[in-house]
Amino acid sequence: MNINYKVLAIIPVILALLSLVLVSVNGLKESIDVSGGVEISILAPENVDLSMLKEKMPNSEVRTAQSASGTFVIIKSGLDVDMDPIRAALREIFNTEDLSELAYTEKQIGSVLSSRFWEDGLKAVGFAFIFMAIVVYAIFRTAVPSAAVILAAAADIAIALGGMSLFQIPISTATIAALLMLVGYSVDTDIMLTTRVLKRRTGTLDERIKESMKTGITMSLTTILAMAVLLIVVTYVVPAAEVLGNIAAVLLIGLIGDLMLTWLTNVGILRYYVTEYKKERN
Amino acid sequence: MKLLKDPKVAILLVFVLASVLLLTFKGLSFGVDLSGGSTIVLNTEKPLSDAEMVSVTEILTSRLNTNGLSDVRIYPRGSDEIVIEIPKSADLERIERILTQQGVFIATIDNKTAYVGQDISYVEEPRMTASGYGVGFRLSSDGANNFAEVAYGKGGYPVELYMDGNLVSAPILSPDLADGRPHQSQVITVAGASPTREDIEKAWVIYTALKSGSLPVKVEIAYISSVSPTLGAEFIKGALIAGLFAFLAVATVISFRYKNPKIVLPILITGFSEVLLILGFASLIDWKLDLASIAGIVAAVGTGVDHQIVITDETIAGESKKVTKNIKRAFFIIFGAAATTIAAMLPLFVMGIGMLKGFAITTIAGVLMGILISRPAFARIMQYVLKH
Repeated sequence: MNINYKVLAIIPVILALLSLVLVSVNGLKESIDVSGGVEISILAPENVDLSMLKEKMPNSEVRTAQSASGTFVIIKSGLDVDMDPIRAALREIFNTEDLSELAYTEKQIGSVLSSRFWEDGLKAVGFAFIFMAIVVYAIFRTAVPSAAVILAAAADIAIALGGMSLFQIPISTATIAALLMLVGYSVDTDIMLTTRVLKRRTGTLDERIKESMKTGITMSLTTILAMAVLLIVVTYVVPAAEVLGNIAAVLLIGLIGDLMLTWLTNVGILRYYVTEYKKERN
Repeated sequence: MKLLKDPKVAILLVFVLASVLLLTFKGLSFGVDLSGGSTIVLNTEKPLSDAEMVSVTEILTSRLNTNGLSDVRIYPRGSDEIVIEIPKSADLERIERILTQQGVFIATIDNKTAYVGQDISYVEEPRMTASGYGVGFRLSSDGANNFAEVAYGKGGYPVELYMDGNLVSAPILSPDLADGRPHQSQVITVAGASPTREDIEKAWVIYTALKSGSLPVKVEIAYISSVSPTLGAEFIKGALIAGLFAFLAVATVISFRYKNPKIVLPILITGFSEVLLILGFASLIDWKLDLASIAGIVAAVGTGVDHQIVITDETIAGESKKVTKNIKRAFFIIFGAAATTIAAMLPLFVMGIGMLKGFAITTIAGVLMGILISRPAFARIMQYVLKH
């Protein structure tokens, strides 16, 4: 056990690095927040002839989703597509003068906003990360344990991004929010573990780690199950609330990654810190 | 019940009661993505001074009112963004046009300016006129004099009418109007006797721009989100169902772990009270809940449950005399974790990728109320429950 904890600690980090490789090779699916463009959804009154829609909108992606309240027709177009003929075609196909009479929903992102997306998004995640790191260091005031917490949060984000690339979950303002939530959840368990290991005086190191695991895995499991439920409900009951489903999926992947990072990597680093690093310094 | 007399528990009860009262009597308001309606964000071509921004929002408000849209909320965000919230479903196509039209109007005859938008003193709603479907208007006397001068002797020439540099109409000048005398009544025709939907819309856009005047800068649509009330109701229903099942999922995990209703129930009740506190706070500050805010509530309650688990385990672990020390450590963990969560949300709150502000506000508010109100009370309840 004592020999391979270091090997075990490295596995999640390798996984995080592989995730980054996947992201750089496979890329991330871009939502219209990033690419700009239009997304329209309509709750279709009855069975619609999809082929007719597709024919009228050759440059748009047309698909449907079933929900408890009917069929949603979802149309996505890029920035360069002229909306007026699309709206005109919809009025014709659904036989109405005023689209707002249908359960018509439209989201349109212009080029100014979409081109600012990466800049703002990176700034938000970057600053969040720096602030978080400062707070973590202020809490523990020792380099190695703080670095372990920060490494775990960074690797969680990397794994979540890898999952987004793998499962084609688009990067959007909502999924950026999910990544920030992930930082919060990830740090929760790491701070608990580090505090217990460094500040508790009762029990051996292994006992303290074991006790922390019991607490930490309960913490993670509540969130993981809650997110799984959210994902299932959105998928089967309200597919139109795709945004909430995406948030749930990102958190689910990130938190499963976090289980490994906290209980293999962070534990490994703390074990090394307590048993070897500190002794060498004394 | 000695527990009820504990100040920390009492504070929680008071706040929960206040939230329930707020929610009952003041209620919650939902953002347009949940209640239905449209949000439009316009970008101005260059940053505006405060005075220019005021004039732009006034012109845009007047344009929307002209088109029968009252109850519109319109406000600047920073120096180059204008946010417009329309609380019902509306004809986006027309709104887009009337908002983005800069409204610079020029009429020329033989390449000489006859009159401009500022010369117009009165505009009539689009209707059928003697010369076709269009917008009738009156020139000021100065405008009419200038027109008389330019038009003199140009009977049979086209009067080219430009809106934002686009030719919208070019009626032939009748010799009657080219007699050198001022004629104040004029018409912009856009179609003949049977206007199409597009023609009518075009006429309304012209009418709106003439009536409200021109914008000092060009504006461009940065963002439109229009949600039908049906879909908004779907979202709320979905969020409630998801919330209920997520609650059951958490209850299952906690029950499985602690197997003791005296521990499980307080955790769930405290978690629920945190939702009430956040919603009460939203009601108090008139925060409009949107999808992002719901995600924020999920985040705050999620960390809330995590922290209660930490408190519970520390309380269980401490033998009688060590409980206080253990609870202190639990709060060290909780305050640390809360501080990092708030730190991670702050950039969103300050720089706001606009739409995520609701997420940051609800998360930060939830976490703060958690560590200040509900978790101290929960710690007392746990101590009490485990002793008895």
